[in-house]
Order: sequence, then structure tokens, then C-alpha cells
Amino acid sequence: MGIKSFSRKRAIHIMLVYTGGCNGCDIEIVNAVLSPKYDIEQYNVFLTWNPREADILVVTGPVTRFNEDPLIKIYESIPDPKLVVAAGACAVMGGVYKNIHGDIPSEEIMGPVDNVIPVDAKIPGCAVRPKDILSGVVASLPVLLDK
Amino acid sequence: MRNLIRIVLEGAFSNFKRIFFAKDRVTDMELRNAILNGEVVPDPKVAEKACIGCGGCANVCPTGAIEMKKLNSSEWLAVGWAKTEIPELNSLKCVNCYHCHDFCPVYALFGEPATIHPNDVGELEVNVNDLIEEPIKISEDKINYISQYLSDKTVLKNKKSK
Repeated sequence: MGIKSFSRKRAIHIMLVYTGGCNGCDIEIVNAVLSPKYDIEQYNVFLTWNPREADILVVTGPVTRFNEDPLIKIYESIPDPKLVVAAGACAVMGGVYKNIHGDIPSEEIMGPVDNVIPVDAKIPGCAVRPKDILSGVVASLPVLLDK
Repeated sequence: MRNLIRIVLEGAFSNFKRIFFAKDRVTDMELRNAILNGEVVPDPKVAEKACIGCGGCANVCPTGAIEMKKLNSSEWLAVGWAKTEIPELNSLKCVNCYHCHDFCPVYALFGEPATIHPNDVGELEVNVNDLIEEPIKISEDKINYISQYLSDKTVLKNKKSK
């Protein structure tokens, strides 16, 4: 085991990107990461704001047209190996925003996230359950470490 | 001076308890063990026993996330009515609009907890055979609205007896 994988195993960093939507999933994810009850830091997973030190990109919300370029830039600036997790109904399949103008096609929603960047894991729910996030992230750690 | 020593000793003792005996811990240890052993499964979305198999949730779902899947052996519920299929909810398509929950006749007509729920249906104790014989106590236009989505109208057979 090299120094890189040794140290990565002890500090997985997730980065949360908000791309439109109602912020419910962001609140839920940040609560799952930081709150004492669920406490994701006990599994050596930490929250970061810097894409260059992130390992897992967590995307919430349908990707709006305004947010598409920043999301691609963030995705490209994360060093390999990286995982992308789409969290919440909006990120997974557009949610309530996909048909925001009814039958009229909308140019504002570029999502779901699948259309913009490759997604490794999808967490359904509106808002996502903390239990699902935790078990999803912890289950994806071996995938990330073996990459 | 004696007070100071007492405060120091009490603090040291409570920290000792916290570090070695995990006092005041709020972390959910049951969840932690379940996650580390990979035992966490998604919560059940459909109560298969309490469901009456009317298909209303599958018809009303705006994203087509619910599919009715055939039962191996159909179940007798009331005169002229057998339960042949139960819904299956695909969470990846679900937007949690709760239409299926609100249109479920067990909830909308009889006031019991609905047998389908996008997050977690919980544990239900409903005797379906008795429930169907109960009179319906909601307004006529609401019944008409709900009944347009039901594929089997037998559930409405007691609506005049209120």
C-alpha cells in the first residue's frame, strides 16, 4: 500500500455541489455529515469545499443551464480517482423540475446529472434519507480505494 | 481551593466515563454496525398484506414509477373481488409527490394508513376483508374523483350505506 492510498483511506473527502432545486437534499446531506447522530466522520469521510482535495462529488438538484458549465469545471478539476454521486430525485431523474413548464420543452433544465457528467451512484428520495446516504457512501469506499 | 480540586476531579471523572465507557454518546450504534456490515436495505414502500390490489396508485402516478406485479396466487377479498396484483415502486423514478399515498382507497376512503408510501410504509395491521365491508364516510364528489383512477370499482360498493 502506497502513501497515497494509505492516506486516502483515512481521509475520504466529499464535496457537495448544489445545482438548483430546493436545497432539501443539501440540508439533509450536511446534517448527515455533521450531526452527532449519523456522524459520517466516524467512517473517515469528511466534507470539503475544495474540488482539488475531493474524492467524491455529491451533486444535488436538477442541473440548470446556468449551473452546467461550473459543474463540468468542478468535475474536471477533481483529481482521479473520483466518484460522482447523484443524490435526490432531482439529480437522479429531474424530479419535479424536469417538466417545470408542463408539455412545453424547457431549456432551463439540463439535467438530470447523468446528461452532464458520468454518475457512479444514484441515491433516490425526496429528500434523501440520511441512512441511504451513509450506507451508499460507505459502500462505495472500497470501489474508490480499488480504483 | 477545595472547590477547585473538586471541579478538576469531577471533570476528569466525567471525561474518563466519556472516553472509556462512551457516556453521553448520541451516535446511533445500531445504524453504525448495520452500515459497516452492509446490512442496510431500503425501507419497504408497499405493505403487501394490507394492499387491496385496486391499481389506483399505478394509474395516478405521474412519472410511471409504479408497476402492478402479478401475485403467484390470487387472494379472495370480498364477494366478486380477488386480489391478483400488488404495486411495486421504482424509487429511481419516484418524485415523492405522494399521489399514490393520497389516492390509496385504504387511506382515502377508510381512513387507515395507506398501503403504499414513497418513503417508508411502516408496519400496518389492517384486516382487509373486514375493512371493505365498512361504510364509506366521505363526500360524493371526492369519491367520484378517486374512483376515476381505480381499475376495480368494487371498493365503492358500500358508498350508499353511509
